[in-house]
Amino acid sequence: MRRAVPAQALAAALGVFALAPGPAGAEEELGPVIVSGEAQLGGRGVWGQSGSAKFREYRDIPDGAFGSLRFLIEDAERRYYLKGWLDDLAEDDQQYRFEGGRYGRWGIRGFYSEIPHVFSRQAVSPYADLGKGVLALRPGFDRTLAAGSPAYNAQLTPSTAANPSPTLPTRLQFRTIEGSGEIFFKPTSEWDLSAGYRIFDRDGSRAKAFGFGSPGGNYINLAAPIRERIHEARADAQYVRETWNLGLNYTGSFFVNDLNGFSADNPLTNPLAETPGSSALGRSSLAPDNSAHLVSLSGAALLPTSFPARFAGSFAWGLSLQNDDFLPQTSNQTINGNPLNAARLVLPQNNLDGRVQTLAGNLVFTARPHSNLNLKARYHIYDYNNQSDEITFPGEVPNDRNIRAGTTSIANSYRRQDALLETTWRFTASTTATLGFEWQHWNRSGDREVRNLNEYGPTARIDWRAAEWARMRASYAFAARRGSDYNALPGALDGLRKFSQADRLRHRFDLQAQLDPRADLGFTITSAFSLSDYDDSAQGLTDDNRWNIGIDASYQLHERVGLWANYAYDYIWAFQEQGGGTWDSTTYDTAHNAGVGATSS
Amino acid sequence: MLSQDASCLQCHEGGKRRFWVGSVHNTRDVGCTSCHTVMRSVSERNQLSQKTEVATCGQCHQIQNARQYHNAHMPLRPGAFQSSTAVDGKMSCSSCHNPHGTVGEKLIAHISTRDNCLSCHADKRGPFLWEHVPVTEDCLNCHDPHGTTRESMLKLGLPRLCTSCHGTGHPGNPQTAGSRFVVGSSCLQCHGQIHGSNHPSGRRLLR
Repeated sequence: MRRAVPAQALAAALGVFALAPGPAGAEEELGPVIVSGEAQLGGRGVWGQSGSAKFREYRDIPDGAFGSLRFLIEDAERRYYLKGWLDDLAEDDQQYRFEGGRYGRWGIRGFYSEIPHVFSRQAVSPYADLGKGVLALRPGFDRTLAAGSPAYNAQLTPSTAANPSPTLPTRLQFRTIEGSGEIFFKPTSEWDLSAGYRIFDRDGSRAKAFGFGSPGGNYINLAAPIRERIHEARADAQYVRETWNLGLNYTGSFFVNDLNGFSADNPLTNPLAETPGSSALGRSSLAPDNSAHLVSLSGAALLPTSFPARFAGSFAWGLSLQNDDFLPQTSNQTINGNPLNAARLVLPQNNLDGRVQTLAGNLVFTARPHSNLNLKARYHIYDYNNQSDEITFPGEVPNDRNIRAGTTSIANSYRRQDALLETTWRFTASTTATLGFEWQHWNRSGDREVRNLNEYGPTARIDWRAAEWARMRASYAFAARRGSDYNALPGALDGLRKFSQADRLRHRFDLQAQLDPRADLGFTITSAFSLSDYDDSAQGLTDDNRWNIGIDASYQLHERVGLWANYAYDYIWAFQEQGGGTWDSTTYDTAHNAGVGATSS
Repeated sequence: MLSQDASCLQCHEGGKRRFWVGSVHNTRDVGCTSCHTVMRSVSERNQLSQKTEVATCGQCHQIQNARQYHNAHMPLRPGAFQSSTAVDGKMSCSSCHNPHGTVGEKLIAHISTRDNCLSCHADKRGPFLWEHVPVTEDCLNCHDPHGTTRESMLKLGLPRLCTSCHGTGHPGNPQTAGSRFVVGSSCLQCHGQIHGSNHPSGRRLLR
């Protein structure tokens, strides 16, 4: 859906200006150390509707001064150093980076960054966040009023001094704080050792909705709380020799959510009028705590052949775990309080005991048996083995209304494999041709419609150096995707094929030209065209076509001043048919991007 | 291998450049000096040929560079109004890619695209009691991480993305323009747990 850009937001965007920041730098000897650095200070003014969330989506852009700082402290022999980059000082998107140690031997890095993510600065809501995931209708909201009546609707209008209501401004944004520390050590020229820790801390809220009726009935939108952290620990060792190298890495990622769910009042049902078909309170789960461990071994080596040949590979084993306690089936007290429902509300176990094991492997072989001939072969496998419990629930209460028979959860697993064979022949001094063949295979278990899926096809590419200053490339790839029988799930629409499992014919063309007619002038042109025909899909997505072109120009006006300009056009056309032919939909997306600028160095 | 690369690799082999030889950039004659400068400083860090990392990669990858300016995007933009134009935004291309070469596909600096996304979006990792299976297979089934004109970097808008796969009942029924199944968050107004649910009654991703 195309939205008109609010005039105020556009004015705000056009009305922002910044006085060119004035850098000041120097290098000074201060006793045993040498200090150099640069400080930038500027002024900023913003007018127009500065409340535009999209304008400030990831940035804090207040009026007034802004600045940054760079510094480098070295000892007299310039063996030891401490560097720092400080940006957006004291603002909500501030960022600081430090690095220090001994050149080429060891060091410590530190990083701190705040990233706001603003969804809206004009959101209003009748809900108040009481903490611990409890969202309650504000005092004064009367749920006994008839839904849709003028008195009821007045409660949902934003409160003003003349007409106060329970619907008040609410925060719809969150902030991510990223911090990391790393130590690295190079005991010899061959060894690289490092270890690090990183934390993401997210706090705030984002829009979320859920319903109290079905289908699509009585749903609410509110500011769901976010109280999350990701802890990541990493250790890495690499050994690099002239003809081979080896690397070992461990990464542990731990996601912690302070809230396992949130609850919200049903604005259309008060507690005294609650029935099994209409709950006064809804409760939804949030992302559960989980952890993931990954150990990977990688390496590369020149092969002992008479011609250049190289082999590279990696193997990684991963384990993901999740055992957060389940929430109760429902928050509807008329269902919970009925002893006849007890048997169907029982939770067979307290948590999923979720466990996923992944195995990933990559093999790449490249060789040049002749000065004009290059060969490349690649193989990739990714195995996702979901070993989580498959739990049979005696009952379920969707949307906190009307208990009904339960079902069994399914732990889906899959394996994906990719392979590529490619040969490149330089048949003139200025022209090379590449022919290749690509293959991808999916094997799926669980309740997936297609158990085995293959996609394969040839690729071709021409690289032509038309002149010393002109290089061009054109490529074409065709891929045919075919699966085993499509076993639609019970109740599925006849002829509808899920696009990730559907048969498909795809053509892709790519063009690129790089033109450097002068040392100070350059152009790059790229274009891609993709046609996807889901030829066996009578319903659902049947066609997906994309086309884009980009042009980039750069001109070095002066030794220290460069000019640049670019333009890109993006076009997407997708067609789908549904409902046994009762409707179809064509989606068009077009985007124009243009930019000009100057840089100095 | 370009002779210039050999000179650089005498000192700069190892680290993130372990898999440079035979990588996509290397085999397509994109050498070290295509992205880095040697005798002069243009960027603040890493001796890049342009002011920022995004601008350096954007010389050739223009469409990906352009998509960061679409309505839904990651915080990549260098930003004309930052205090220092030499500093990238909160993310850069190397937040997800290693341009010096990887053993995996698309120069992704992780064992898979999904694992790469989950390093920052670990709330989607699960495993969940009720999975939305395309989520466990590949985030790119629904999202384009470089940026799109649709909310949440979706490749297609709602409900069309959902009706690409789902057609039973109200997804498949024809709807009027003002229908609650079409406007606003569309399908996600009820199916809010679209990445998976750990709620015992969350089979339909409603809770």
